[in-house]
Amino acid sequence: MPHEGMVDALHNIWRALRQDGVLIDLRPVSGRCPIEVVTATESRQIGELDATGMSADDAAADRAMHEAVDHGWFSPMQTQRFDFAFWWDTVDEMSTFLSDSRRAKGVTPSYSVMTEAHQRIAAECGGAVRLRSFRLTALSSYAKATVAPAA
Amino acid sequence: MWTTRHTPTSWTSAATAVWTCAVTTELDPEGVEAGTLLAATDFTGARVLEIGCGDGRLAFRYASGSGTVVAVELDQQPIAKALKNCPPHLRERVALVQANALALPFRRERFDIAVLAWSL
Repeated sequence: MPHEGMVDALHNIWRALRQDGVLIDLRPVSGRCPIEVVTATESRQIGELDATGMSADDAAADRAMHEAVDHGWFSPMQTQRFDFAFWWDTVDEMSTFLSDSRRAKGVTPSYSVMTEAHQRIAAECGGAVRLRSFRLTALSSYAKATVAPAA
Repeated sequence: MWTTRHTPTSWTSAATAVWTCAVTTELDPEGVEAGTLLAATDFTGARVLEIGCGDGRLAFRYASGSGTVVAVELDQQPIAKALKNCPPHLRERVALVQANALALPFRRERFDIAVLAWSL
């Protein structure tokens, strides 16, 4: 969504909220995330997911939110960061999922190298192993401001 | 073809089942994202508007503790998936709507909480 559209959407949300309403902006943070093989007893990093591809969109979203605050529509309350996990059974599943992700730019090393690592660890363990990555996410909350909107 | 994936109980609770299209990916089976959201704001009895609900993954997790949830998604395909995935006990509480955030079809001051779910 272009910057102007984001600002318009925030204004629509401002209108839809009650006077004491709260807006929560939940979105992933651009960055690099480890890809791990998880066994019953440990996790081993076998690669990295490059999720830096949406930094321009993130910057536009930040600007839109700042603009909404500047207009007096919302007042910042709190921001926190946390991460949560994605799980896959195979590297192929992970590859298919990430190919549909607009935020994932790629992985290092290659999927074939990670497949070998995954299979090697599975053979060493002799049991079920799964793949896991994390997504760093930001949660920002805003109170609906009581002043009349500027736009 | 849509398939369901129930997280093996040896890994985590079966209640964290997620639905996928062909690919068996589990997003946040531990419920960290929804837990953080619920800890940040009191959803008890609240009228919630979620923008960009996708397949309803997040909405279905916090809806139980909310009053009502209107979950909006621009694209038709995820909404269809969300309608299919909506747990029976939430069907009276969660409304899934295909709509554009630039033209929200709701009257003023209707909601207590608005959630931008990866959509800004």
